[in-house]
Amino acid sequence: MSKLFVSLIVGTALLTVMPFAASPADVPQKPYVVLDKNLSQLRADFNANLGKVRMLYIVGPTCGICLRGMSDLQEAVYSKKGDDPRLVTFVIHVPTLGAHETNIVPASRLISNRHTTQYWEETGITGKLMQQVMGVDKYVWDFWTIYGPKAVWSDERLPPVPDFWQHQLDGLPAEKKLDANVFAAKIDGFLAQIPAAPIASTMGVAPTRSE
Amino acid sequence: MSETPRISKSWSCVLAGIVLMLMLMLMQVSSSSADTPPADKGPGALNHDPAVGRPPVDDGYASEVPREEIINQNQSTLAADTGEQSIPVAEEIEFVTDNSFRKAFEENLKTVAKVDYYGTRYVDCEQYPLEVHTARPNQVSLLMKRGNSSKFEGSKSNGGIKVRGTPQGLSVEQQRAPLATFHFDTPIIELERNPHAYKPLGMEKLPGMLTWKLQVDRAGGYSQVVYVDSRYGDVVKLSIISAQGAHILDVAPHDYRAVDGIRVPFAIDYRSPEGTVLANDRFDRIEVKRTRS
Repeated sequence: MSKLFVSLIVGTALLTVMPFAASPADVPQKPYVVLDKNLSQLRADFNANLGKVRMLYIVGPTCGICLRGMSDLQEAVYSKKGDDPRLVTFVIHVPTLGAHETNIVPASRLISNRHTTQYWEETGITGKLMQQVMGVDKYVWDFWTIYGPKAVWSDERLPPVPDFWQHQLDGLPAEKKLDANVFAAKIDGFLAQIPAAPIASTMGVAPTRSE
Repeated sequence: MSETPRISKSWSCVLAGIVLMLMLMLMQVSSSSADTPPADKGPGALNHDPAVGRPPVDDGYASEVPREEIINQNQSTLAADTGEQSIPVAEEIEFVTDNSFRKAFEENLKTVAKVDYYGTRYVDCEQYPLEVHTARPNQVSLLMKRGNSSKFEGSKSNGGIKVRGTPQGLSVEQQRAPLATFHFDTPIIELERNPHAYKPLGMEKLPGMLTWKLQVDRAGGYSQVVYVDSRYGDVVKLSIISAQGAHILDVAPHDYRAVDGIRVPFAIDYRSPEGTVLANDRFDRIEVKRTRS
């Protein structure tokens, strides 16, 4: 009987300790999300925030011009609007200009906002899929989009066509070059479609992965 | 024979332990699921933990990116310094020089022989009339008057640095540093002449703007860390380092405007390495003089 008792105690003690040994809390938390090639997590996050204004940026984390775009939007949008829960941002870092996963953290500091999630997509297929969506003959990155509150990502692979977009690429329309003030004004237009209070109370808080 | 009951007893103990373990594990799983907000209601529906369960990448690195967009895969030319605020970037020098906003201003500057600045130096509540005369190649003279007919003069010419009197706001050593390191041309023109003139250090966010960060060696053993506005190409900050590696002064030109086809700062702030404002120069008149050709 005493042996049974000892076994029970040992078993219980082991069980109590084991989960802590493998606890996620012990693994350093990354301030970004690693995407698979199907972008499944991005798609899920996008659709989970239906009813909000969603921005989706495709950037290279070592591309100075992309970084300037993020910095400009920080000044024109995020620093002015604060952490408005009706605004959700997805920043997808792709491996252009030799960027690696280690480059994401320093680049991601440029946008300081609770409802922004940074992603690393290692194959770069995001740019190819967006190229397909936009119907252009150029790999799409350094690309800045807004989706209105009704947009749904219904296709298995392709993201929906943006409701508004700008870029900093050669070969795409010059009048669509990123202008942070124009971009911010468009966001205001989409935000006007959403009443502030009900969203905050029923939809919860948006992604909070930034910094 | 006597072994059998003992073995079965031990087994029952082990089994009991295992059953208990399983029960506890189940309890933990159900508890963590309850803690996880549902996908459509939780904080942004990010109900995954990127640190654990990282999804495997199907193919190799950048396999879907066109070759022309994947330069520098080994990151050998990635520019960065050790500063915590620095952001490593690729092809920094190319981006600095390829600033379309800047093109006309830079071409115009190449035809300019002298630029004269007239204004006031402010130190705390005091103010002093100020003149700064600059000329090619890299000559500068500064004249600051004080009320009691005394004045400060500092200059850099082929004959070296000359300083007479006591500058206002800055120590003599601090006032010598910007004179000694003065360059008439912009980093873009210098880089056009010599792409290796500046060492790229990545980018850094300053209040309200993202800057290219460059390092350059100057006469007298000084070096400068130069911060260039990534949109307009203006030099917005210079950190001056002595030959001994001491950080002497931060100079921040701002309020840039176009005068006779070139971009010039109508204000310069001087700060100590600790960030204390030492003096502010404000110019109300800037004259540009071109070469006869």
